[in-house]
Amino acid sequence: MSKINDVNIILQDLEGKVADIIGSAVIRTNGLLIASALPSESNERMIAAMSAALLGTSKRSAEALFNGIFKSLSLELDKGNMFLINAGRVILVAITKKEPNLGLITLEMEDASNKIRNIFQMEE
Amino acid sequence: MSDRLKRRIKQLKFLASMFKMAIEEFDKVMGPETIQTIFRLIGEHQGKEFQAKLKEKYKIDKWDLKMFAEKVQNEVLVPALGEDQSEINISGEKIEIKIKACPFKSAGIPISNKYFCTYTEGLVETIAQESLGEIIFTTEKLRSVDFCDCKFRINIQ
Repeated sequence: MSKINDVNIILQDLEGKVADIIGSAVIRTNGLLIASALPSESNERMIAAMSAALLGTSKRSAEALFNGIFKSLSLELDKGNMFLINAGRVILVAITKKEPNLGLITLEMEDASNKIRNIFQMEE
Repeated sequence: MSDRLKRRIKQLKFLASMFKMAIEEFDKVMGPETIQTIFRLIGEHQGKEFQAKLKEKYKIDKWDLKMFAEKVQNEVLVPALGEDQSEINISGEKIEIKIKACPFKSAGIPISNKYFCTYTEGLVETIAQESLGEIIFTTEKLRSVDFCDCKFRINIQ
């Protein structure tokens, strides 16, 4: 349980630092939700599943385009944005308001993803 | 074997090969994470349906571990895997499910990529959650990673 508590603290911290973030979650690469601070009206299970699918497709795109490694994904929508960042064995997802501060979000998400990566690396 | 049965088997073999090719292409385009997620969701969906059907068929208001083990064994695992291919053991507040056969492997589909295991995990975990409430579900062994059987553990909270 302490790992989940640690992740919840990181998510709360992320949302505290970036006012544009309205929800965040940590998801396993097979689409299972580990921790979430998503808006109450959202379908957490589907967001988790779609995030894993986006990660899978993004990884394949990275390989096909540049023979590269996936790092992050930004999805711009009419009512807000979705950010996805690889954190090792898990994915960090953030949902934001419309036209967010991209620089700040990227910076804070990278920081949070490194902390999350360390938590789940210790598990191995 | 009748001509009708031969035709039917041919059709099923064709469908199985289409399924195998579709999975390979999904893997190339969308990656293993996507397929594992889809199989997991199918397993969860099936788990909910199985649990609801069992509840209705046997008029179950409250599940206990023995009832859970018996119904899952006889109504879910045996029809899919055959007799003597699965075991469910109860020890205190723990349930251990052992599966000795893999229907996907038997159908000639490679299982080393673990796509199909997420289906089984989703199915068993969801039936257990819907029946027994809060649980911790753990996968201990999988045939897809070279064990001779699959073993899942359910701890009641």
